[in-house]
Amino acid sequence: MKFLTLGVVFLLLPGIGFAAIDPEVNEMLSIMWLTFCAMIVFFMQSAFALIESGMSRAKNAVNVMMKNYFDVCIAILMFGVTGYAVMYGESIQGWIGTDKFFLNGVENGREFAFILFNSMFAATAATISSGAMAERTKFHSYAISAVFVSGLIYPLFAHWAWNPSGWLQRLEFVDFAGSTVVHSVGAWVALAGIIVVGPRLGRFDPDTSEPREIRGHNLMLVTLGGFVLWFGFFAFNTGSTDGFTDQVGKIALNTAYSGASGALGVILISYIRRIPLLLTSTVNGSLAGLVAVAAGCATMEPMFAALTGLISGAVFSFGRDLILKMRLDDVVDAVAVHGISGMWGTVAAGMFFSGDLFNPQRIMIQVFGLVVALLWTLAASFTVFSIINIIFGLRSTGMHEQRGLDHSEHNEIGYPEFQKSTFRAN
Amino acid sequence: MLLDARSYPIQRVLEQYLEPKNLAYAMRLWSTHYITQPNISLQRFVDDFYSRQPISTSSYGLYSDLLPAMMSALQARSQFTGEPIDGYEFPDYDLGGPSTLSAPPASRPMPAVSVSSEPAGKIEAVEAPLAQEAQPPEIPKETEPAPPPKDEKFVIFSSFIRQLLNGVNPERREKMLYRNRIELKSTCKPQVAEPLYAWLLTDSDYFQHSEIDIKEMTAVTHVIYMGLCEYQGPVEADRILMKVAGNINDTYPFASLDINQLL
Repeated sequence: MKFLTLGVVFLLLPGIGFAAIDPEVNEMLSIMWLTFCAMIVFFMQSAFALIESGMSRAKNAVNVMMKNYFDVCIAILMFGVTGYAVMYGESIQGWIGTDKFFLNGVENGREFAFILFNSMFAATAATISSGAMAERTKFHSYAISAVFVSGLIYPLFAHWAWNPSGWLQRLEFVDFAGSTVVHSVGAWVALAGIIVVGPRLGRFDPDTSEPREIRGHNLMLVTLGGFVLWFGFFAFNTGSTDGFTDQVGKIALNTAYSGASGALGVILISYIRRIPLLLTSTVNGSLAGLVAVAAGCATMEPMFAALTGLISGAVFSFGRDLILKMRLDDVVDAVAVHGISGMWGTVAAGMFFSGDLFNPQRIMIQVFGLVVALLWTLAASFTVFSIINIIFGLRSTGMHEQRGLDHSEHNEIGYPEFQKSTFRAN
Repeated sequence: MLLDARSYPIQRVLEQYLEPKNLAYAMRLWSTHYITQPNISLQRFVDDFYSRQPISTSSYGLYSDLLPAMMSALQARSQFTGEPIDGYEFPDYDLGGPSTLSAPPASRPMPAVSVSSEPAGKIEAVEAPLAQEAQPPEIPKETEPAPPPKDEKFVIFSSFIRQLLNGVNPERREKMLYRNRIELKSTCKPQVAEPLYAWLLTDSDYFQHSEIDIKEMTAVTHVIYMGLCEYQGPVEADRILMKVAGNINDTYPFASLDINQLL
């Protein structure tokens, strides 16, 4: 009966004032909304897989897909084992959660939906590094790193920023849907990963240090991934309301505006800089806009969201060049999209805070928060990757890199009808 | 004057069997055509001058003495550790005391003089019949030693590696090999690594070493591939690798070495 009522309410929702809904129904509606959004955010994983795989060479397509598929599995489980406890357990001075390990003590229906939704966030943070480190990282070593990212690195910072007792939360650090907490954390993990694993063979000329273009094998996958990811961002941002509220429409609109203007920003900056209008850059520009608006999508007006997106397109473009100048090989530009644009978005959330525009104190808190995220995540993940590198080896051998990780790591080939594979399967 | 190490034992043996006139001819023939040939051609040398000059003594007896004399001379040479004298690696007096005979450096035609310790007047007599020789002795074609047979496995391996290296211009190739020298040398046994690396630096199309195995060949291929990636870029390196592998497979379709094993 409750579900019938919920269905009717859901259909008639536009005509019903929220105050008129029975609290119990509202609770059920929120659970439904949160679960539904969690499912859509889960679907974002397929978009990550499409984008990362499309931007890799054909000989590594299966490996990238496999990493994306498997890190979701690891992240969902690890978040239940330790992640949720660290993030939302009883806090010690706002630093770390101490109970609810293995979901011990969780009984509330809404909390289960909340855990599911946050599991998907943890999976998102964990999967960002897979694209950046693609084409030369050992599968099992990457999988081990995902355990630490989803079980400790992400949840701990999320505790500081999102737990009601978290010390950054108490400073009024604003990050509504995770520009810093999810995306930048994922990007800094990726940054540490690409530093430790090193660039792909031949990415930079040994004499001039000039980067060489290594084009992805399928831009159609990249574009489709861009669309799916954008779709997922609606749920990513609106689901962060933790329930079905009247904020949802504005958040969704802000999300759309920022994504669109992010792509526009890249196009404009490409014209100004007289560089080619690349499809990959355009897709990444819109993603940069979507990442940037996540922090302030509930607290800024739509036109500011559009401005945030527009600037994030330019930030992405320069950020990408900066990474290349540092001789870092980021296959999908994850650090520029999720990290640098995430930083800008976090600052923008302070600058364009509705009713408190350009408050320097708020902006400083935002800057402080993103610096903390950078330091914690980079230090922790650098340590994790270095230890993994010493014990298991993070980088594939040159032979495996030449043959492609599809064959050498999985004994499967993504395109058997088309791929030239003269090597003998040993 | 010194006589070089290979001529001295020849002359000492020939003196016991030949008259001065024939001896001079034989020594000239030796120094002109056989001094640089391997010991196995000694028999041919004996047959050669026996067929050109009327000699009464047995060629079999001469050859029987000639071969051990040459072998003992070479053995003595291998034990010699002293400094080269007068440009010769091995002074003749170690073979039986200083010689009064003179001889030209190896591989040069020996002039028709000073082939024996006889007085100068006799030397003139020796020269006369030699000067009458209308034609210098021809080199029989079969005297050229046949090159050792090439092993197909090494032909394929060498050709494969050489074609890969040709994908980089010579200047950058040299840099590439130098940069990867440690990896290249560490992929093989030490006794293989040095000659292999030396061969890579040349333009030669053939490398053979009995001790290199398929695992080492594969490792060498991958070090070369990594060098190609660095110097030509990974996309171009893949293209070169596939093209060269295709060439080799087309050229040697049923060969003893499957090039795909190296990839």
